[in-house]
Amino acid sequence: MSRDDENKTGTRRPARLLAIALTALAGLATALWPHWQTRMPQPGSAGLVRVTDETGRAVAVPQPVRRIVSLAPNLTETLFALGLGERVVGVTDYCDYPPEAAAKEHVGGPVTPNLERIARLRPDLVVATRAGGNRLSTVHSLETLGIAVFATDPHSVDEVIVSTERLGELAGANEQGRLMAAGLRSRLSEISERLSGSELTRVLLVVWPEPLITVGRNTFIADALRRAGAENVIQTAQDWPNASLEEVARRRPEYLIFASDHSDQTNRKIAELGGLPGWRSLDAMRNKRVIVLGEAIARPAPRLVDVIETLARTLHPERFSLEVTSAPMPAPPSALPQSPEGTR
Amino acid sequence: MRPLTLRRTVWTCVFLAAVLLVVVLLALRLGAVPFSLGDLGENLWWLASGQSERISTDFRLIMVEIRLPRILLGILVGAALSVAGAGFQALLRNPLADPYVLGVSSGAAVGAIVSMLAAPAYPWVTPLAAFLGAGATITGVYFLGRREGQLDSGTLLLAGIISASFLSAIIIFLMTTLASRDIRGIAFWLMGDLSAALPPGLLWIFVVFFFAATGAIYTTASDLNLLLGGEREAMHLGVDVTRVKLVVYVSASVLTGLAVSVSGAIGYVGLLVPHVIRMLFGSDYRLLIPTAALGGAIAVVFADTLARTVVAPTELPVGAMTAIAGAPVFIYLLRRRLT
Repeated sequence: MSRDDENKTGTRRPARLLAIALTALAGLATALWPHWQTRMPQPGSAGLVRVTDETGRAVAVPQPVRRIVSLAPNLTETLFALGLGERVVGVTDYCDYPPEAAAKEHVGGPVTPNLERIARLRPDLVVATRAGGNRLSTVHSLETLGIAVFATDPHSVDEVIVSTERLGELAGANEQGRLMAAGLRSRLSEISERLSGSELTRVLLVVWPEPLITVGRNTFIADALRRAGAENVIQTAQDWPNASLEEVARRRPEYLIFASDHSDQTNRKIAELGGLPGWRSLDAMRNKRVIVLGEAIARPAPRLVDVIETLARTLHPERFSLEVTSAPMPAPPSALPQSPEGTR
Repeated sequence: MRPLTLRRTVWTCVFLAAVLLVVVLLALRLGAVPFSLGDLGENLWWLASGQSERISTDFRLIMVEIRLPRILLGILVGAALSVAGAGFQALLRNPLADPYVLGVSSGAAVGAIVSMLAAPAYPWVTPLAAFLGAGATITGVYFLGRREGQLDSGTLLLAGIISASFLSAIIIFLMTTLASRDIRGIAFWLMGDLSAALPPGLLWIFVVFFFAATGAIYTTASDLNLLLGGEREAMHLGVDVTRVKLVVYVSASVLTGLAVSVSGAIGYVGLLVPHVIRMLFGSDYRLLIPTAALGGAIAVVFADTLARTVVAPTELPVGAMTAIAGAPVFIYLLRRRLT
């Protein structure tokens, strides 16, 4: 068949040409390869500190740490609380607390930060967290670029405090970190002293109303609730379970607690939910036992303890009205941008 | 369509290569951190001529370590996906076939999720596990898709679609039960994302596999032309149909597996680029394969440049960009051809 023959010969010649072109390309790539391998020159540093971060990765952090990029709002807060704000050179688009943090150079969102921006800032240390939406691939990419990344992974209030202390140590604020940790711990033990003997209030923490997302028992949020004298009615091994409203109705939470950055929107949403079947028949909704907490409840940073205090006072006011003889009253939670509403 | 000559093949490829070069230069120029054209040219010359000590530190970090490897990866992924798409469209004799139709991407995703849960500390594990997942799926679908000892297009398509939806269900199951906080990473992965900086060794392995698999498909190009006219007819014309199908199946699957394991499931490229190329240059596979490779590279590098710059410094997943930019182009070409 002539058409077949034509095709066959037609294939061979371009095939050979293509092969030559490809070989040339591969050769070029090989020639350039050594230049791509050039690694970042190590900064002239006093040395490296080798630590294992909270996700189990070995990290070598150049010392002293002068330039830090934070990849999550909670880490930015922690660094500023430790007095390291001056050394923070890059933050994410969502780092809004303290307000001066937002003036730092932005490197994108926590989930999709821009590697180029981060690299140009020449950080000695990038801090990331598994609890704040950073992706593993971002951490690996930075590692590939020779940038030290310390990732935190707190599952309890204690671990949040330990993370704070460790960040202080790594970045050269040991004393600050130790003092802050001691202060936070004593405030927590004061709360637990006041709450001792009282029953846990049964609550439902609503991360997202539709679909209903709440928190699992291994999260720092569930632990913060326990410390404030509350217990989430949904207890799962998953961290952000999609809970069934039927199960919630059966467990009869006394309070609904909403975690939110925008209280107006949330209040509107709550009013809307109050008219929906299922939600409207929950006792907590009918009795208007609804609390809206600011974004700090969802951020594993020192401000979490402020939220715990506020929540404990709201849920167990009788425990805080009694004057305990020796200990002074804890400071009013003025640092909270939003005070809890509800309990009317 | 005019008959295909060597001259036309070469000139078409040269033309597309020139377009690719322009797009690559554009991609190098644009980004969250701007460089002037003069800087770019100067430093690139130093890089190419081996005077790497003269390159500025910023340039080394941002261009050499981040932007250039990402563009190269985009070229490879785009080329691999469109060649695979062209291959599957011929193999399944179905214009709707794309590289993911047989479940390769879902299998790779399952592998990636398992690795993210089991060994999160090692960066090279995820691509490797994804590739193994893709390989397992390819093998499974191959055995399910055989009829009377050889691959049958209809059976293969059904087996692939069923496997794909089964594996997608497993992904959803894993995401809602096991994976907790790394869930966002997986969501991006499923959408297709080029932002991860790969260990350089992996890129190199990709290059070798890409040329091997594309070369293998190219050797069957004239057979594929005959196969499009019908299997029986091709067989009468002396095409070893069983062998051709096996070669195309394995090569296209390997290409898809490679692309998916480094960048997740970037959509539309593998479906649209071969069709666009057919509309522009005809459907002769001897021309289609090299031009689809170049076209895919152009499409992905272009889309990724948009993904990097549209809302900088935040990045979009490139998969969203390929879908947004790809669909209108395709519709335009389709309507133009009809009128």
